[in-house]
Amino acid sequence: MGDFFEFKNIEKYFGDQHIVKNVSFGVRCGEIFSLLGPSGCGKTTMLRIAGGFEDPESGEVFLESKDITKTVPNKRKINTVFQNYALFPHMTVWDNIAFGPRTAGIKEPEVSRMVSKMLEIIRLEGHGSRKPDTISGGQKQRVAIARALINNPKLLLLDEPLAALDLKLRQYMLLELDRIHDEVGTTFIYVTHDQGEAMSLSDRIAVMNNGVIEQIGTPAEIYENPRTKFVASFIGDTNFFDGKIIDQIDRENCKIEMNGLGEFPSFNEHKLASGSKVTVSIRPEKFRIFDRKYEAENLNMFEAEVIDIVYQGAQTRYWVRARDHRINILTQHNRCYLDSKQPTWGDKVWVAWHRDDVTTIPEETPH
Amino acid sequence: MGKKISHLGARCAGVYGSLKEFLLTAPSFLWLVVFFLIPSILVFAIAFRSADSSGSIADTWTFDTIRNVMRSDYLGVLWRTVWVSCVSTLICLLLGIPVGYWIAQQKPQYRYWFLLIVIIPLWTNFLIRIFAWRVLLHPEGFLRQSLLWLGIIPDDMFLLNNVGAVIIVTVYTCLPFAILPIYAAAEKFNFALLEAARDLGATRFNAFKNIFIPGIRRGIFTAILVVLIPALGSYAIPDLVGGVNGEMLGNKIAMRVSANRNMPEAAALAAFLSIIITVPVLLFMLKQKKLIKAVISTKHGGDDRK
Repeated sequence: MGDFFEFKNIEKYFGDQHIVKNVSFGVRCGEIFSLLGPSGCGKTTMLRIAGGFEDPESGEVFLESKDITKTVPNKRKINTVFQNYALFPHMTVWDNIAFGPRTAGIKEPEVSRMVSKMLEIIRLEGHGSRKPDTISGGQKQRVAIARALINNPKLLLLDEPLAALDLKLRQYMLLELDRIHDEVGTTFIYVTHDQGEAMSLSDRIAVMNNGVIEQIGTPAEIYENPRTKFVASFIGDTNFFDGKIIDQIDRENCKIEMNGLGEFPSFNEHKLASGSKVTVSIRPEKFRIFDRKYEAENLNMFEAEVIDIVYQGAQTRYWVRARDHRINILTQHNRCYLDSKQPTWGDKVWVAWHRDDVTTIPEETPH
Repeated sequence: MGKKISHLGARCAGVYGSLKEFLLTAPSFLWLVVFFLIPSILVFAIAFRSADSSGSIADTWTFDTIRNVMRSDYLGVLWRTVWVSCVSTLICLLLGIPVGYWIAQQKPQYRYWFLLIVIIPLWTNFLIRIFAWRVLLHPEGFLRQSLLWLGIIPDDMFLLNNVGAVIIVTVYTCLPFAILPIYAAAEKFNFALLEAARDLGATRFNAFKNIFIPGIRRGIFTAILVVLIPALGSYAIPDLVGGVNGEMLGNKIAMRVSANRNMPEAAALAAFLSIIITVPVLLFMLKQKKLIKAVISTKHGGDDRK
């Protein structure tokens, strides 16, 4: 049994460019599902296929288990919030929002009631008679959302809805979007290249790159257990080390030789065999810095030299060098670990991490 | 003291500026007065003069000419002039809007080639093109013979020397001038709006009608003006392809001037025609002015709130 909304084996070419490569995934009812990826990865194309504005070369689209691949956009119970809002410039805010219900042939008193309710939800009561040119970017954004939601879509598609807004407004609109989602309960598919937006808003994220879904999961899963090198580097900061598995310790853990830094016990999520080459990813905040070698269970350590320190208030970012590696470390100001002494430029320090805080990514990423 | 001087300086600059402005606009202003305004007033004045038998203008005032011009056969020609022009304009819009829409959606590097195709006919002399239409529409001509052979038209239907021929040739002549402003407006149109309309449940046709047409309305207004005005005043086309039943006001004026030598009557007809043309243009300009005012006031409103 399928999900609420489903893509099955979607293929799309533009000319000889292979934009979407055999993509399948499902979206659950009521969730905010993000398609996250760099520009040109095919995420907007997926959204346009969902909206019916592009036909896939092959594959099917299902909404509530009904095949809608061939359904024209105006017959789909799906609405879109376009990237640059696409508000009708010759109509007032009110008429823009009323466009869908009027087109559907709903009687004017009912339309009027619906529009008033929508204006209330987006908190723009009293702006109904304004033209789109005369309201701010954030207000346009909310009108675009209201214009889509008034049709009671089963699915709302949002194409980089915050890209045109400045940082402050973006943060505010994120909260607004979350609030509106809670209020209406519609399923959202949210396309963005901004990992911060995706992380803070989504129930689940699909990370897309080069026309392929690299990983689907909750924000925490994606961040803590990236399945590919691309996901690890695209979501948050990380340090990569080339390594090789030299021994299995038990069912969960193995010993990895980390490019001259030493041999370290590591969590082996993908159950990789001994001898296989791996990329080890360790997030900056997983490291801790000690001024001497420190013995603790399952704690790995190597010696390094501090080359740069950036104090950022809530945290401090260290750049340390160990052999050929420049390693990025983020620490909270927990002096207990350091015996009150802060490392400074040129200090020899010991860099430590827990063996479970490692992501081992197989050399050839599975697609 | 210093302040006063600078104030004076500013005022001098203002006077100097407006003088410069005046000098710059004076030649074109003078041109319009001498070659447009005064002749127009003369035409209106001559309409109230009486004619003498030798074909010149007599020096007595009379309302007879105006009364004469209101005769039913003139009104018939006037009515024909208006409806033929309106139908031609409508056909130009019906043909021009889809063409402008289509060209604006092509890749930018191809658009100019399509525009060139639209403009190329204008490189041939206007009269030559009308004579070419005479050949095409002639009873023994290619067009009628093919249509007869295909059984599309009955044997007793002729294509030349009637109102139909006037409309066909007027549309042919004016179409490029209708397409250009429509294309210019369509090129600036944001086609994502059509997708948005489709997304909100509109059919392809409704999206076109309710979003695209209002979106390019300025282009359409311009197209109406550039087609309707020349069509109302057209003389050569009805003269060459219209025959007796295709006569328009322009032909009547020409006849009064050249064959009948009745200047006051020609002037009255010409004045009549200018009124017919001026009224819709003025209405349009008033609407434009309101439009411009509306834009300005909303802009100001927006600034105030910021």
